Amino acid sequence: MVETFLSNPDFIKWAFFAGKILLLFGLAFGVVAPVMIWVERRVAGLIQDRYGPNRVGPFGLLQSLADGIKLLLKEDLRPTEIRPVFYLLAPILSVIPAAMAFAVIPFGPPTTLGGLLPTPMRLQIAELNVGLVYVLAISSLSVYAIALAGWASNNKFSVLGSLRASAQMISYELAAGLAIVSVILLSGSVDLMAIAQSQTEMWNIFPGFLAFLVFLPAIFAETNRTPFDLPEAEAELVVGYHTEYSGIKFGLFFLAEYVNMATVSALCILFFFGGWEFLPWLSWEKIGVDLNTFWFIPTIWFFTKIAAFLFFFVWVRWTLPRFRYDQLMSIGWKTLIPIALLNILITTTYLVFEKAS
Amino acid sequence: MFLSEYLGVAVLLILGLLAGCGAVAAAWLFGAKRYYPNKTSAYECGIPSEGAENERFSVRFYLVAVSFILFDIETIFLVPWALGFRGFLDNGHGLYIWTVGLVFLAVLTLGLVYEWRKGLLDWNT
Repeated sequence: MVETFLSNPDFIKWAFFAGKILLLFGLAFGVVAPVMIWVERRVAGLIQDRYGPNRVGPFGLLQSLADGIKLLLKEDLRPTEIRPVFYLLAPILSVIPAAMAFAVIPFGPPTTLGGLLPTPMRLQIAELNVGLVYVLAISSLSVYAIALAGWASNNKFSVLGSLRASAQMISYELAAGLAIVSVILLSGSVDLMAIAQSQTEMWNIFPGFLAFLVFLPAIFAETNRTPFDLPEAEAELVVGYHTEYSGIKFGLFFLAEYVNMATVSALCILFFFGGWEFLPWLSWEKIGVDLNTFWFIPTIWFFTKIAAFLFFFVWVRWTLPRFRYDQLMSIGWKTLIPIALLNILITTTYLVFEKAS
Repeated sequence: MFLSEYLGVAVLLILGLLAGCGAVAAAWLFGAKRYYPNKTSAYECGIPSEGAENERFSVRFYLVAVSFILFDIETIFLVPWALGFRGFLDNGHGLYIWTVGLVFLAVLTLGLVYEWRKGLLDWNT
């Protein structure tokens, strides 16, 4: 009786679906965000020749947990001048796009989980054939949370910070969008799974290096990270759009930022670094890995690449100084967008002549 | 099932909503509430807040938003073009799709050059 129920194809399908959601949601909010906050502070310490958090748990690993509990127990402070509903809505709105964006991230080739599933299924929560457009749309929603946070706080620093953040995020979104157009040209699909699979022979980073050069600063600006963290420029704006936020409401903004970082890292790897492929010219099949039995190897490799990319985020943050605002806008509009346009011209010309020759 | 591939998106939307609302509700539940005027006033470095209702900001933010709309729509138009590019190449219409796309790109670039010359992109004046 139990056996027939467990081997029921419908049950297996739903269990697989639930498992994927639990794995990714738990990983993003329960592991990546807390661990990355710890890594950020620890690496910052080491780069600046001090210790960083090393007291709570082994190597201070539980620091984020302690901080989370502390933030939950902090006074629920509501300044008198705020617009109450929107003030509460903004942190929630920042978490929702962060949670939705990774729905279309594929984290491995279609697999039967070593024979557990009757047919190969995708390691992806939502199998959308327009995954790339979806992820662009959802990630641009996060600008609403920031704009709302600044406006609802009714504080000059917050308003300025959120204005800066909105202008910056939409400007760099253009550059990112144009860089992605050449990824679509190279891979010929907007399905993220197909984009990853189109790179088994050669990663997109080689024909699309210029696109990567545009995409990289754009995702740093999109996630409001140094050297583009103008919205939070603490030397001029206190902390920008979340000046009036404290406790867990402030924590939610940070949680969303770190989850977004992981999502854009995954996107960057899917677009330019071959997703879960082993090395630029070497796929797992070529070196003789049996993906039916060892289906988890590409997935682990994909997460390792994401971890490396996240480390790069932290490394850049504690190495580079912040841009001035006029520099930021002129890099976005006068450098990245022209390069991205030029890159589309180069990529299409390359494709046409590659076909003709 | 209709739109069934979007089920995962819906589940994540609900999970995100629950996480966000849950955290805010928990803060309200567990947090202390000892308010007094100095604590709940706006944080402006100890100076009483003035004129918060009519904030004025640089018109450039607005202009950037307007030109973003234009360029973003143009970028979205490029996506189906890029998606169909290989198909046209394989059918031997590569030169046609290339020229069409480049005319569109040229118009886009012209718009950017116009904005640039008008000084819309200069922030330090």
